Amino acid sequence: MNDLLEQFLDETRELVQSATEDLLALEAAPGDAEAVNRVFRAFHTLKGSVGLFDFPPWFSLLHAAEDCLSAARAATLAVDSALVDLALETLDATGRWADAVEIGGALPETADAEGSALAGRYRSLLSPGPETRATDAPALPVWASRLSEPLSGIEGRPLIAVRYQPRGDCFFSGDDPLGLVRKVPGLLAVTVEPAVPWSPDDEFDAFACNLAITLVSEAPRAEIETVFRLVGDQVTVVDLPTAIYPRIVPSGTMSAGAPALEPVVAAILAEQVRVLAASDEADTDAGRLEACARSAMNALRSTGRSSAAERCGQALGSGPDALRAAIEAILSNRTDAATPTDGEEAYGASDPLGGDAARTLRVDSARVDVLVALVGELVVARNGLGHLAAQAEAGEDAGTLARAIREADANIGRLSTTLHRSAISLRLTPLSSVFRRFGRQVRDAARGLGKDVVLVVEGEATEADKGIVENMFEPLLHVVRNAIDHGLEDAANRRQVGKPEAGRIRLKAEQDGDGIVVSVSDDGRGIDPAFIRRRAVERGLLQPEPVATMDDAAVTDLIFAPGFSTAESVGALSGRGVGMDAVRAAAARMGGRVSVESRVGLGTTIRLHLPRTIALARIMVVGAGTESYGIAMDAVVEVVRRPRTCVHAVAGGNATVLRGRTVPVFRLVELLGRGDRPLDGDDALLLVVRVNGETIAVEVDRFEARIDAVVRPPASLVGSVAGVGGTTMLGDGRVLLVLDPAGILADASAPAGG
Amino acid sequence: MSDTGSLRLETPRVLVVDDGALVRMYYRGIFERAGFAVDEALNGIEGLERVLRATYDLLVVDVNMPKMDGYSFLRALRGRESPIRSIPALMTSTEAAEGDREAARVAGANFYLVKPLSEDVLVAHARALAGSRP
Repeated sequence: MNDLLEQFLDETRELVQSATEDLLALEAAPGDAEAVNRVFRAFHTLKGSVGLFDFPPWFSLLHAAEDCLSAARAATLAVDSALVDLALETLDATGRWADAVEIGGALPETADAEGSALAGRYRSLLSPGPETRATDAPALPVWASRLSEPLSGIEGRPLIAVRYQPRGDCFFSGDDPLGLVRKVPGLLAVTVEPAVPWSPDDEFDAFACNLAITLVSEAPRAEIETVFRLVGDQVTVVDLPTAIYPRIVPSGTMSAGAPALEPVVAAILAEQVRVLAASDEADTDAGRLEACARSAMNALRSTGRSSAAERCGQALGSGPDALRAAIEAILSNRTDAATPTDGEEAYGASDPLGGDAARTLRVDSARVDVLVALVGELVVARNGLGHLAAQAEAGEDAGTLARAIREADANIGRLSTTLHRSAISLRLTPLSSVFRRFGRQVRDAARGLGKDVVLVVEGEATEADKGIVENMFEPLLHVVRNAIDHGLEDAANRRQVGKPEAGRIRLKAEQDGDGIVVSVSDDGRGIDPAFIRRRAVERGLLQPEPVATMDDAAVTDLIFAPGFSTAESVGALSGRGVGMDAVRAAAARMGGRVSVESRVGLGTTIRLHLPRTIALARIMVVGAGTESYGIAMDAVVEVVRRPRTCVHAVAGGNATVLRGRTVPVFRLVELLGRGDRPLDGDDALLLVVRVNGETIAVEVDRFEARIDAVVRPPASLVGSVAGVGGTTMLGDGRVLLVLDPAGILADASAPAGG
Repeated sequence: MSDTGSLRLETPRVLVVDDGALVRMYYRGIFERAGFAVDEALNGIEGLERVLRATYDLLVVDVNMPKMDGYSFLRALRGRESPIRSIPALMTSTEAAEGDREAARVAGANFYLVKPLSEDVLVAHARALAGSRP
């Protein structure tokens, strides 16, 4: 059942998303019948799904929403901002409740009140004016909502529930509580419980009444109230709305709810009589008649009453009236033929809310198919190895064997590379999931600032790793809010400069080589380099002279500098203490970077350059002097500790003998141009690295850690330093230089070769 | 006479016609636990396609579906000149009003259950309608 809940949460979030978009579209074009229909369908599905679990306030809310949307779909209710806002609020609540359910398995405590308030607003949309009895009706008391469970068999009839708690001294005023209850007409169910837990024996008062009686009746309310007229102050009478549904009870804990088959059979037989009577279309009559006969016979046979079933079968040939008569006859003396059948059976525990909800990944099945096919090929290739082993045992010629093994190796190598690529592609997910969230965000942000904003989205089908996609929302949101808050001028200013009053924000994604570029463009005022120069100096970020000589693009880049905020005033939206430096840091954490392009008066584009896949590299962190550096483990052959006496000075450098081979030894601190410290320690810590077939040993001061990290290609400036393969960010935020062994070798082999 | 109403001793087969993916998943879990073989259709049109291709002992049909709703589906099924028109149908809906129940009867549903429904109620009715012994 956990799967079901997981699926439910996934689906709920998607539906909330799509319905939000459609509502926003509707707000722009209220006459869009297709959009109304889609919104209706989303709510309808949401309601159906919520109904699978035990969340009564959620279900009632969605039911109320669906009623309104159904009216909107039938054009009997106008699609106005009141309805759109209410629906959006409902989706908000739904999103929050889904989160609460995911975390704690239950709705928040406020859900009840919030749900009925929203539902009330829907009802008043449908019936404005004084006729709002349903809206004003108090929420159902807890004791009454608990009745839903035992009532699972009797749906659809108006029922009255009564809670009768006689006063403690009621016996002394001559009341007979149980006698009263016996007078209630149409009684369907009674429970009697202690009103408060029984006192210990020595305090027990045998003359005090401590009963709480709950009963359900199908009689009219007035008749019931008459019975209790003398104890009206001790009685609560409630109409059980048909909206109370039997809830899903995990079968394992269900005590009395499992219906015996006999009433089910009787109900099915009775229903066939009604179905036969309901016929109104001649061309479906034959089918209906046969289906009724088959249903009735199946029901009868399922409790072992073949002779009664046979009677139905015979009646079938004589038409619907004969069948009806036969079924009614069986119904009327059903007690005679009753064979008690125990319908109870353990269906297995089914707890819709139990367990943890692991994060799921939705994968296009075509991608899984590719993966499965590849694994199949790999299995075949592996079988080939067994064959080779057999050949080797049989004394096959070494040359032939070597060739075969090399072929097998190439084949498996190709497969594993493809497999790796396919596995990575499993995690690819379209950016639409992120982009879709912006419709709502832009609308709310624009509203909050009193600006008119049009959002244009492009390239949402672009794909990237799930982790990247999920993590880009926050930084993007920050950029978008900034653009609306600071980038876009207000309507008056825009008019002045001849721009359309509505500002334009464009959210765009595109693939760029191995990575993706996500950009946020506005057609606002642009970033004025003169202003940035001034501000940078004011903030003490730079001295006046270098700022004056920097070109405009470099100056504009300063907006990403920590501590730089271009906001003239702290906006309610974007001025939350994080500037664009937070955006840059977020991009860096994902292994990406940011850039900005701006033209005064025309607008600004902020670009997030992000990797498409997260290629985790295994990095060994080593110390040289006081610094730490990373080296890709791929290149590291082994890590050895050698007595320093085994490292010999040779012409132009040092060398040691490892496994019978002479290996040049370089000190990392020297390679990095910091090697003026004397050697210390008795042992040399050597990192044996192989590049392009050559083996060298690099002496380091410390082995610190092995980590898995995203390695970013070196930024332009660092990249020019030979031997730097890239950078990665450590858990504590420090940037680690990752050395490129090939670069080190190229640099080092000159002196070594001399 | 056809085999109408014969007691099936092999695995009973149910077709769930419902547009809610989650609802179908929920039904599938319930029916599979109860020993049914389960097929799914997303709407009435798919439902008809399925019914024409395989033999079913029971249809569980939602009312409100896009493309072809449950009423139209049942009407189309009951009007066919073929034994498939006799397959018992259980209609499920969130509407509990008598008018909705009557509409289901007119369309040719053999039973009507109001959603949400409990596993036990659903299984008990499904077993009786499909003629499988519990």
